[in-house]
Amino acid sequence: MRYSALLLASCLWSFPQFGCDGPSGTGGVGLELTLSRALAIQASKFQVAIVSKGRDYDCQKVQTDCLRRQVDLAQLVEVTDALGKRQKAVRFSSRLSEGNDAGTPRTQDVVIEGIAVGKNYAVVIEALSFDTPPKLLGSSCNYVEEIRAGSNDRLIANPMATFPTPVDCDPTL
Amino acid sequence: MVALGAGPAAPEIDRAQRLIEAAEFEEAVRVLDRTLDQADLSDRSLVEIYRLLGLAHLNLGDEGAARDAYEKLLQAQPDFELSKKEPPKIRALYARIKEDVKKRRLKPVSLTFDPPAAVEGGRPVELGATIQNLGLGSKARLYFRRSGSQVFSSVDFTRERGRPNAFLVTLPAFELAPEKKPYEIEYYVEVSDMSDRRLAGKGDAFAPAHFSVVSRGATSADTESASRWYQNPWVWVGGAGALAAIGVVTLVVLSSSHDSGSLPVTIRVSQTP
Repeated sequence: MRYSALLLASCLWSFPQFGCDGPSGTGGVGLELTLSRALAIQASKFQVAIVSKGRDYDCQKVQTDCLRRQVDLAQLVEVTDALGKRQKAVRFSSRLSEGNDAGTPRTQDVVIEGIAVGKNYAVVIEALSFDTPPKLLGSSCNYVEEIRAGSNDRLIANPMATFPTPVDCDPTL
Repeated sequence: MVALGAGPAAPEIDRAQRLIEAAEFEEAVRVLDRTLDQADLSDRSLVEIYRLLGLAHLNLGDEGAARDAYEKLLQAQPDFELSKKEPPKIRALYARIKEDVKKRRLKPVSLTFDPPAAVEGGRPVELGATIQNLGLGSKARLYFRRSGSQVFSSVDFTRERGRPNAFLVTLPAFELAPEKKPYEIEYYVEVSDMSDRRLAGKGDAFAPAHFSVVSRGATSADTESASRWYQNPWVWVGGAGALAAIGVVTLVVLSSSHDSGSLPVTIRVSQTP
């Protein structure tokens, strides 16, 4: 963990509700809350990949490690990035909303384009750290039964599972 | 939001982010200024660069420079808010900037797009448009389909280098297959901001405009007849098997563009233990 991350994490641990410049002595919250905030702060990007034959994979297991170590890359459904290029995955800068309450997830809306129509997909979202190469901070795996032509219904992703320490694999696809 | 391509500027942007987190604001500004000089920066990269520049300048107390950066950013993201983790002084400064920016009148986006009445099939076709006051992060897209099809394909306009209001879009040759008889392409153009709000356009999915695709050497009479091909009874009589076979081939050729969809996703990071 980098020094700045240690400093930040210790600061959040001391003032969990309000951050480093807030009042003290207001009671503690669980470590997992702090780590979730740490993930939100330290994630440089979110990477979204779509896997065909999604139901062949156990999402609970997929969320424990880099996707690239768990699937055949040929199973990835190509998507279109902002430059119009076909890619195995697309990445977005982390711009999570500010969650007001402890129970409210922080969110970020993105759109994945150019997905081939089909059924039985899994959408995997991974949080990448700022390291070079990046590490895996968290993962969310979601089954999508069908992608139709045009715009599909919004996928509200499962809340991202976080790791006590970043997984030392480069998630970049 | 739309997808963010990594692009050549991504490492510099990441480095600037780390410098800001480490409170190395002056160095962050130097890195970001150098990055702005790079060619081929995507709009998404520019949005990110201006966000970080604004933050760095705010922390340096340079309100003027922060204002310049946030003005550009707020064009693309009018609802952009500073993180609540920023100190109150910084947040107050940003609030003042945002209020000033909101008070100014923004010039509306205007679109001029007039493709020819007919284009030649069998080759890529480049079409030009004039789009004025296109803000950072906004995009213009041409949606098109062969008359009779249900699904629109799309292709983005790109800005011509050195001409800020001139944009080009290229329809690939396989979308304009040459045929003996002319046929029609229906289209509409949409200019939208980063939240997919429509800013300007020409036509829409329910009332598209159209142009004809003709083979080389086609006459104006052939073009005229293209709008009435469906009135020809021979189109409907006989040859159904041949049409089905052609349809299968066409489907294979066009499958990459017609059989695709988009998926809005809400990423969630839980704050509950």
